[in-house]
Formats: sequence, C-alpha cells, structure tokens
Amino acid sequence: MKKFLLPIILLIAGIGFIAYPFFLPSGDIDLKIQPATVIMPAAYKVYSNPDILGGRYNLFKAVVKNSTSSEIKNLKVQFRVPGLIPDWTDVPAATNLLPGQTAVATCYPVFPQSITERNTTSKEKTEIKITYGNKGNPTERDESFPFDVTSVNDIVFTNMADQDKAYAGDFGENRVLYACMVSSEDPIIKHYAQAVQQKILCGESGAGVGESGEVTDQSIKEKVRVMQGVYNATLLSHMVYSETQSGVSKFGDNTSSTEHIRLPREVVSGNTGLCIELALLHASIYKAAGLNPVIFLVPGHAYPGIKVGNQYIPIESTGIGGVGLGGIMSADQALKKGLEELKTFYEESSKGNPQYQLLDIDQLYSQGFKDMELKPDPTLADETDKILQTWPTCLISALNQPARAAAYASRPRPKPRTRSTEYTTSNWQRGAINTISFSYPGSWPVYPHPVAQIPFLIAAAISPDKTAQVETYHVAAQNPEQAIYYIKMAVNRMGETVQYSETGSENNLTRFNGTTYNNGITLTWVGYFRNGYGGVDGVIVGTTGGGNRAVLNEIVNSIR
Amino acid sequence: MKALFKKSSISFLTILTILLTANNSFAQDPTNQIQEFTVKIDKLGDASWEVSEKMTQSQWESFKQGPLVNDPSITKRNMERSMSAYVIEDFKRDLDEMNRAVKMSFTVKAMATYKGSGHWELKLDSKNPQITKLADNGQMMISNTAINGQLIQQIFKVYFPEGASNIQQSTDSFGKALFTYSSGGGIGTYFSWNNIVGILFIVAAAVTFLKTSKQQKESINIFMNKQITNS
Repeated sequence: MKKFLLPIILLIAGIGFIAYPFFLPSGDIDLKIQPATVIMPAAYKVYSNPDILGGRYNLFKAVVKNSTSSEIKNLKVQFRVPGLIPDWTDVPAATNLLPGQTAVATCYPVFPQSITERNTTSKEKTEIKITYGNKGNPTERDESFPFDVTSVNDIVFTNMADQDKAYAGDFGENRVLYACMVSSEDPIIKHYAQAVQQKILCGESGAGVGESGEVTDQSIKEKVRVMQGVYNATLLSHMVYSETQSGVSKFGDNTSSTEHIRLPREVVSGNTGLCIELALLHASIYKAAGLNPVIFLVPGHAYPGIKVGNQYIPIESTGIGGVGLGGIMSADQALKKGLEELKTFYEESSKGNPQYQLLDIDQLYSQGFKDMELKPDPTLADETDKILQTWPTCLISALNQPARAAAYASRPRPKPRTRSTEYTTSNWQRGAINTISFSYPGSWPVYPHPVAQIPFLIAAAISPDKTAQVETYHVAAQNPEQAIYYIKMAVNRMGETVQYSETGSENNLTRFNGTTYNNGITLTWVGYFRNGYGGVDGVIVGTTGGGNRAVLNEIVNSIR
Repeated sequence: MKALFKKSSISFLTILTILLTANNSFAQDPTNQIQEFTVKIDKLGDASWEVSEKMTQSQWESFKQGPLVNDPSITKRNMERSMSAYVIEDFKRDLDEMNRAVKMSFTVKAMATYKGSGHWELKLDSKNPQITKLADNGQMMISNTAINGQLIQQIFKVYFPEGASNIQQSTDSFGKALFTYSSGGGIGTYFSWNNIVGILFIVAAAVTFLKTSKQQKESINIFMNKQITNS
C-alpha cells in the first residue's frame, strides 16, 4: 500500500490545485459609483428611460472592473430606495467579466406614480448591492449614497457639477423637463379643455387639418381659433399673471437655480399663473385638442405656441395682464405680440444663443419624454368647476337650432335712412344701470335680459322701427376695456363681428366707438363704461342706419 | 446588459456628426461632407474610436469657429453628458491645418458585452442598417444624414478583435442590428496556472500509479513464477 502513497498524494494535490479557487473568496473588483444628486418627481417617467438624451437622467452609474486574475461569474448589480422602491431591483449588467474587463451598469429606476404626490423636498438613500462569484457563497459589496427628491412642482435647472459649468446653456439644461408638466391627460385639464371647446369654441374642433391631413389655410385658421379660445378662456376666468417661488439650492457638487412651477391644474383652479405656468396650461389644452404644442423659452420668459407644418404660431399668454404687466391684451393682440417675440427668438436662436430654446412637445414625447400621471383631486376640480360655471353658454349651437335660426332670420333689416318724426322729447323716460344714468324716448319698449346668452346685457330699449337701440350692461370685469372685450366675445359667439376702439373719456366714463356686423346688417354704436359695484357698468347706443340722429344724440348727451 | 448597451454606435454617429458640424450651419458650400468612423473592439469589449473628416476650404473656415477647435474640453464634456451610459476615456483631437482635416479619437469602455464561454454581443442602435463585409473581422456600413441642412455621408467601419470568429449579424427584438462573435473565453479560459499545475499533478499521479501497478504486477508474476518453479 505504501507504494501507492505517491500517486495518491499527487492526485490529491492535483485536485487541490484545480479546486482551491472554489474555496477561496472571490477576488475583489474595482467599483466606482457616479450618483445622481437630485430627482425631480415631475420627470419620474424620464428617469426610467435610457434612451432620453443619451441616458443622462439616471439614478446612478456603476463602473465595475474585474481586477482579479480569473473570470468573474454571476455578477449582479441590485439597488433599492427605501420608501420609493423598497424591493431589491436588478440593474441590467454583464454577468461575466474577464480579468481586466470593465462593465458599466446604469440604473434607470421605475419610480412609482405616488412620487408625484410629494409636495416637499426630502432626503432619500439609494442602497446598492453587488454580488458575484459562487452562487452558493457569493461575494457581496454594498454601497449607498444620499440624494434629494424635490417637490412635484420643482424644476432644478441643471444637474451639472459647478466645476463643469461654463456657458449660459449649462445653467438651464433641465428646462427640457418642462415637457413633463404638459398634462393633457390630467382629468382636471381634460375637463377644462372640454369646457373651452364646448363653451368658448362652441364645440368646433380646432385640431383641423385638411381632409387628407395636409395643412390648409382653413386648418390654420381653426388652429389659431383654438389658441385664441384658450387665451379668451383665461381672460374670461379673470386669470391673472403672478410670480411664483424660485431660488438657488445646492445638490451635491451642483449649485442650481430651482423654480416652483404650479401645474396646469393648479393654474386653472388658482386662476393665476407665471409665464411658464400659463405656457404649460396652453400647451396642455392644445395637446388635448390635438394640436402640436410648443413652448418658447427665452431669457426670463416663456410663451406657448403651436407648430403647423414647418411654421410656428406663438401667442403671448401673459397678455391677460396682472400687477406689473400693464393692460390686458385681446387675443388678437396676444397673437401679434407672440409673433413679434418669435422674430427675436429666430434671430437669437440662429446665432446659437442657448438661452433661446424651443420645446416641441410632440417631438419630445416621441423621444421618450412623458407627462406625469396625476390623480383626480376633488378640491382642485371643485375650484375649477366654480370658474367654469362663470363662463357663458355658447350660442352658436343654440342658433343652429331651427326655431332659433328662424327667429334670427326674421330679424329686422335696415331701412332707407329717413328723417323720422316719431321721436319727441316730450315723453322721455329716465333709465339707469347702477351708477350710470341716461334718458330715452318713452315710446321705446324695454326688454329686460333680451338675449339669454348674454347675461350681462341687463336691458335694451328698442325704437319702434327697430333701427335704434339703447342697451345697458353690467359685466363682472376689472375695467371698461375688459368689459367691452367680454361683450365682444359674447357677441362674436353669436356669429356677429364686432370691431371697436377706445375713443376717449367723458364724465369719468370710458367711451368706445364701434360697429357690429352680421348678415348684411351693420350696427354703428357708441358705448360708455365705468367701474361700478362688483364690476363694470355700461350703456351702448346704436343704430343700423335709420332713426332720428337728434334723438340718438340726445340719448348720448344724457348719459352721466 | 440589455439596457446598458441600448445606446450604441449609431447614437455616437449622430452625436459626433453634430459635434463636427457645429458652426457649419451657415457654410454655403453645397459639397457633401464625408466622415469616416473606425471602431476597433478589443478583447475586453472596449472600443477605440477614430473619427476623421477632410473638409473644403469654406467648411474648414466655418469649422474653425466651432467648439471642437476652440474648446475641446467642452466637446469632451458634452460627449460624456450626451452618452451617460458609457465611460469615455483618452479623448484626443488632432487638427491637420495643412490638409484641412480633423481627427478625433477616444476609447469607449465596455461597448461589447461578454456573455460567457467566449461569446460576445455588440448592439447597434440602428434598424436594419446596410452592412457589408470588409474583412474577416471587419464590417462596414454607409449612411447619409442631414445636419443643419447639410448632407453628410458617413462611412462606419467596425473591426472585431483579432481572431474573432463566428461573426454573425442579426436583429434583436426591437429590430436593431445585433452582432455576435466568439473571442477568447471558451476552453481557453480553463488554462489558468492552477488548472495546468493541477492537471499535471493528476497526470503524474496516473503515471505513477500505472508505473507502480506495473512494477507490483511484475513483482507478483516473478513471485508466482518462483513459487511454480519451486513446486
């Protein structure tokens, strides 16, 4: 037996050499973690998509190098974020690494939708577990790092480390994430958009393209009508411009400006918004209406628009006015202002100025950007409903009904202009609308609330030959300009075209001269308005061309 | 490894094209630009990139105003940020002013994925690219792209490691080009020093055993023969 001792020893030694690595702990790896310092809940869907902007929005990047002399097998990279992603989750990574080989595992976390319910900034921790080697007895390496999760309303302008920042564009690279706040799928915004379509646009679809999908003049007009409708909706709601919170915060080695953005649902329920907030609201409704929304970002400002073919149509959404912004723009003026701004935008962006940035929402969505999912909020929905209830009901559809249409067709037609002797000053009545008083012929019948669809038209006295009239208004507006604009909108919705201009003031009354045209009838009128209790009072005197000029002048002169 | 390598060479092409053509948007020269990309994958799956382009005089004048000439560190920074899923090293830029040519080179770590047993995978972020065989371990594709209104022809050459075999092209579940090849690994990975020494010991044990057995057998035979002779 002694003779077999040597081969037995040799056999055991041979097996030992082959098997010893299995009994040794695996060699070490070189590991570098490049962590994110801040996560913005508004963009929570962006973080899960490695295709967006070259995978820039990730939670961490783990660079693993096999520094052992043998192949590493069963490599696994896992992470968890207690409170957000509680379970250990695999990060896609190579499972095998040759000696000296490097693997990069980049984590694109799928955050739960509940992250959008965060209203304050909180500190979170990412835990990373890397295992490799023998499956039964793997080597484990643990790492962790802290990071901030902001409020759902916050946008941190840049993720770039301070030492890497150089140009203006570096300080606002995250502005592209505004796209995630375009919330056309938000139930509150959907409801608001439907109300705009129903009450302001009268159920007409503005998404129009030609029948074969091509862009036509008519389709552009329809799209512009939608834009104006959205703008008018904000005007009608008495929405105003207002500032919001902004500041500078430090996230790891990055010092960045931050901005607290009210979401479109908060803008409509709060009835106020900053430029970017109004732009996001417009963009949300445009998208809900099937348009291709864009947002123009310029230094210190933002405004919305749409893309039609290769053209852009902007609108200055802050034209609704507010403290510090001056007067109120009509929708036409807001469009005109937008076009002026677009000219500057083109000039600057063609020079390569990175502060002039265009966010094409559809294009960004096709790249993987997504809006956040927002749960129904009864409180905000109630507030929005209250505002929507103040909007007048659309008349176009009512006029389209046969009975209404017949009544409309039987409206008086203009008569040849004759000097009438019907009016006398002997039988005049005194009329008033709150703070404004005037006189009118007693022979003119008075119709209280003659047009149900124009609730702020309180009464109208119409001459027996139906060629002249006096109307009294009380409009829930902030000033005469806004009041006359609301009246114009309401009349427009009845299919009539209104043009007017402010022509001065008398007796502390603002005077407007204008014409209203429909179906060959032109009403020429003069209106006097002044701020009263709970709104603006006004009197409008008009004629279709007949009537006694002297009587009309007497009415006008009696207005106090 | 799937998501990790989702972005691949075609994304690089786009980014590099933008970098190279930056500030060329006002160049009026309608001449097509030609960019050549050479990618060499080494035995560890890392890729060394070389991007070169020769320009006309007007293109060169415009190119000289761009960041790649004036601030290459910013170009490197932008590349790293635009391709966050990768690790980029050894970034270099050479200008050949006499010939109006630029060459950029860098290394991308872990571009190809090791699947074990000598099998490797290289994904391209391009759907159905027209690929032609260049050499035993080389493939080439040509594409045209328009950047800032300019038509740019791109010649993309990829070389697999020396000795790579079974190079095959297919598509993944998203229809994107996928190369698989064999290199190293396999049986070769079992020839570590401990395995070699262990096998030598086992062979020695077997030889010693056989030798000992033979000697013992011979001894028994001699003994038996003696016994027979004596009897």
